[in-house]
Amino acid sequence: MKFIHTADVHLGHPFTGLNNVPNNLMQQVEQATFTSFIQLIDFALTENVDFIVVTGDLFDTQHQSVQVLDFLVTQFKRLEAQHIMVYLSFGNHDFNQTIAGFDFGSNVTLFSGDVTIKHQTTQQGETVNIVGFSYQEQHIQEQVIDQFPMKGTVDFQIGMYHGAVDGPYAPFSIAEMRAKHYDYWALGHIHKRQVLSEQPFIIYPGNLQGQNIKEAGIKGFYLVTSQGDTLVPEFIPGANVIWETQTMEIPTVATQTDLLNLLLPKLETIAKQQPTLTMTRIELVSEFALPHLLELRLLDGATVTQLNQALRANGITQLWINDLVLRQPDENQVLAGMDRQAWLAAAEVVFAPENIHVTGLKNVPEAFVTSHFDQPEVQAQLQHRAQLLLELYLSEDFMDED
Amino acid sequence: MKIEVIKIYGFGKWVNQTFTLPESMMVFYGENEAGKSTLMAFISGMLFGFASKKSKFINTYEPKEQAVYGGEIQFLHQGKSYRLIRRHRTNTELELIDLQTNEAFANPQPILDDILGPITSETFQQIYAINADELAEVRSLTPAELEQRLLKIGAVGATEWLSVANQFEKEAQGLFAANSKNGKRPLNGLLNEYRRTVDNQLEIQRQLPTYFASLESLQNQHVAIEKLKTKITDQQNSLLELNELARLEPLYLQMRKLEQKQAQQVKKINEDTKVRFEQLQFQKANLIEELTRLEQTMQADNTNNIQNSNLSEAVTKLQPRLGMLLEMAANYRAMDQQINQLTRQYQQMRAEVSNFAETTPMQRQHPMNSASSSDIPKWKLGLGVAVIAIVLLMPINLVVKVLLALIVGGGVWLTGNRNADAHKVDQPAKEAPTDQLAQTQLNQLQAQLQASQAQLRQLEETINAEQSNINGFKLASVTNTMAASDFSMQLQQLSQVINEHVAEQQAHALGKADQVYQEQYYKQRHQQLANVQQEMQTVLASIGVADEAEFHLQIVKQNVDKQQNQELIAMQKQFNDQQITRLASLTSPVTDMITTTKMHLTQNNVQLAALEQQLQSSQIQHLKVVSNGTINEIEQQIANLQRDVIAGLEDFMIKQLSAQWINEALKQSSQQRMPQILTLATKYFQMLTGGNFIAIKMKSNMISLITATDEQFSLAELSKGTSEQLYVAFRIAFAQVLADMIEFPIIIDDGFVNFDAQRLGRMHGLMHELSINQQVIYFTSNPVVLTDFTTPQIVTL
Repeated sequence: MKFIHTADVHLGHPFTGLNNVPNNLMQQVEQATFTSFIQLIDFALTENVDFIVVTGDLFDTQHQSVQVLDFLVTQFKRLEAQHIMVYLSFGNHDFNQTIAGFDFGSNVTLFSGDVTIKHQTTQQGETVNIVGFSYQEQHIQEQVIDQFPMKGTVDFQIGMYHGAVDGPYAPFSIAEMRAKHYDYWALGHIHKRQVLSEQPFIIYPGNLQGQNIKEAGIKGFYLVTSQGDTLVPEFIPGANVIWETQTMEIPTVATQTDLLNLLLPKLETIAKQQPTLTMTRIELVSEFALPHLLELRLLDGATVTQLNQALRANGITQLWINDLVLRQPDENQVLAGMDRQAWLAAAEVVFAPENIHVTGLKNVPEAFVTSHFDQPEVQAQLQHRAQLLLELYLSEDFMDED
Repeated sequence: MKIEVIKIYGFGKWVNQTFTLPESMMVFYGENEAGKSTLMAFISGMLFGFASKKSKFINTYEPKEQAVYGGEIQFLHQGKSYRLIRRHRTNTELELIDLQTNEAFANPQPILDDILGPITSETFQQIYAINADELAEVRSLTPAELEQRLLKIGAVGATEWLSVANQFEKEAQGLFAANSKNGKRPLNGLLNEYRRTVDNQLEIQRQLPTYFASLESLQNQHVAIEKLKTKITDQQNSLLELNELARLEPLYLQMRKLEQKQAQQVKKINEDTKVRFEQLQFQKANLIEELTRLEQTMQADNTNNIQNSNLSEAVTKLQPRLGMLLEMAANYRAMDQQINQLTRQYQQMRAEVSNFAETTPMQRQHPMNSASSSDIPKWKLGLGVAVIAIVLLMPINLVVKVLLALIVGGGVWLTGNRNADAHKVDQPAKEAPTDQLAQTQLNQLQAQLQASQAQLRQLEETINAEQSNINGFKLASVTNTMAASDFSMQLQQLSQVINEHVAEQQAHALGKADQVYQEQYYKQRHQQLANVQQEMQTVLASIGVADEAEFHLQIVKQNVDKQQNQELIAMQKQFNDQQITRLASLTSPVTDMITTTKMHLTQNNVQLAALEQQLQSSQIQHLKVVSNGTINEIEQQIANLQRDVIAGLEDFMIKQLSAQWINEALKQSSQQRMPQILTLATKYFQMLTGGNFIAIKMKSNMISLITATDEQFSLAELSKGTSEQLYVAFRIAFAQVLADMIEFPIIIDDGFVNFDAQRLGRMHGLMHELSINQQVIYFTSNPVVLTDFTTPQIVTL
């Protein structure tokens, strides 16, 4: 018996935090969740698996669209042609009553809100129970694990569970799962790949395609194969676009040109190692404080743009620098003039959320904006950059190198 | 800090120049372009570092003559004397020497930084330098701006900070009109684009219900089509069945009729009964037939007897006379023949005679008669007749007599004929000699003939009498005639009748005994018949049939039934149960149903075609919906725009917040120092106005000024000169307040161009007073100073 375990595909979910990505890359990025899913289906067909379990959040209700549904139907039909079953449960992102009755195809079994047992006999004649449930609303407070039956008289029993150990997402514990004597727990919800247990395997496959820098690293799905009377998972890389953070230590640099010349060869080396398009965040670690202007350019994106241009010019297309963060020792004294106290007191007032709101957000009610500026680290970053700007203005550096 | 010596190696126009500053109050007097500003720049450069970059806008004061850039400053700080040396503008060599020990500090910058404290080149300018440009700027301010400036004067570098803040604010407002919903700034544009894109996305998402509806519609249409197809198939099958039924229907109806008939048939004659009855019938028929035959036989015997009585009488009467009568008939015949012969002989002879005597034509007319007459000689005829008569007269049996007569007659006739022939051959030879003789013979013959004829007539009469007698018996087999010529025939008939009758009479006598037996047999049979009929009645009664006719009818019926039953079975074999059930359930004629079904079928086919067409167009529509829009692109666009909006907002925020930060910091620091500043400023303002104004009041960021006569003025009400005095009072007060933190010389570049002599005198007085606590370096081109200050206090450039 062979099956694929995936979850949190989030079809059609856009990449967030993309910085000036050129059109040709943008197309690949736009299609990434779809492309990754197609690759999974291709793999399923090639391996001729018995079935696929998708433990929730196959798509986002928020991003649900005609195209997504149509895409799914098309892909599931490909599986149908090869008699590959699909077990689908809704998670906290794709719970949706309007498509509860949607016909995904004859080979697709959609779990209802109740814990239900589905039975399948594999090509080799092994009997399998697949037990799962779908979210009916965004949150589930109760421990749905309690409703899961004990393993029945079948060769293999697989639990599909979209949830988390803590929180309002059908909380469970590993001990409770083990107590059910299942052969495999196909989890979903957590986007980071995790093997919670090996006897039996209780696995978060992670999401299929990372959508922002927080979902960095190789993404994919699990191919689970029966070996004797146990189920053994194997991770299959599947993402079409990879997010990654590259940390680079730099010595003291004085000018922008120096900085670029320092970074570019390193980036080219990294680029050559990438199997697929990699959206990269560069984390610069500097022992000494960078000149203000350099820091400002790092912060306002100018350096990133220059780096990307240089990479393109050198024919590198596998690597895209999306942003750059700087870690350097705190050096915060210039404004600490005679009026240090006043400056600090003023900062308290000026960088307070209320003032930030009044200053620029009164007519920008969009949630993504407010939630962004509500973050303390964003507020701190604003203050940091403002200070850099003031200091730069005061210092002679401002006149330098123009 | 008190600057004691200024030594310039090379800085602008100054080369190898040394100034000593012995007094706390020092005046540098010189005409314009004497180098006052250069000297001021040198002091600042020495303390805080020279300008590092050449630029159009920055005067780096390169020495006019070949000299080392830089110089020395000797100053007193917290009771210690230092000499600060800077050489070269770039890669400056810095040297700091403790004049107590005359040792240069190995690492002079931190020591210097420590001495300068938080004061930078900028703050030095802002706090301690009051110059003409600044005052000129103050003059150009509106009262409100001046008020703002005064309020923030307590902050270090307030003027510059304010301009930076303004710049940032302008830059920020160039990015985004935060308070406008329809601004045309870049960020407003970006937001609008974002919102349009979101609208677009929503628009596309609104397709979702359409999509679902479309899917559902497609599904329904598929179902409808499938249903209709099933219906059509059913109807086609139904039609096939109906056609089959239509074929079967007449047969079925016939069958039903038969069945009904069969059902009506109540009486039943079983096969044994029938066989028995038929045997009886057969017996009965045989018996009746036999009885009938017997009856007929018996009856026929009776009737024969009756008829025979008539016949018997005739036989009784005629039988004895039959011989005689036969004889009579034979005589008649013989006589008749004789007459005929004689007639012929006579005529022949007459003809012979005529030939000779012109009577030839007569001969020719009766050749036969004459020939015959001439053939048989008269004697022979006579002989014949006599023989016959003898025979006839002989008392023998009539038959024998007749036979004998015939034999005799025949013999006579044969002889005659032979003679006649011979006679003929001889005839021509005889004729001529016998003419006379012939006439005699003819006469004889004639007489003879007449006698014979008479005899014949007599006989005929007798015969006629006899015939009448015979006719009187009216015998069936005997011809009733009165012709004598037929008498012979009549007699023969009679003879046969008599013979038959005699034979019958004899047979009858034999059958008499039989008759008795037959009667007994008849009775027996009759009894049998009665028995048979009795049994038949019993049988009939047993089956409830009135009579035989009815029985037969019944049998016929039953046979018909049986036949029909067989037909029925044959018919039934043509149906299956289903068809039977179906036909039985029919309420209207099959043909009607066929018509209806055909009509429905046609309608449904039309409907199906319509549905299929509709489905096709729906599918096209559906595909359109599916392929319409690029939701993913748009979603990604939105994500990108969000990022851009946030980046833009951050840029805007940084500028805007920086400006706010400056303003807020200035305000805060001003407010911190303002009470002290206000006290000093009031004191200085009073001095400068010669006691005209005695108080400065600040209330909720509004400054008002009180005169000695307790009049209150707002800033707008002050003259330009008084405003300048107020500003200078604030500036100097601020420098004094900061002197608590660090003591720097106050450097005043002459800018009091609007001050009259009295005001300038008061200003100089103020400087004197200030110099008690703090070094004051005063650059001026006004010669008044030469009288207002002592010589040691004045350096003339």
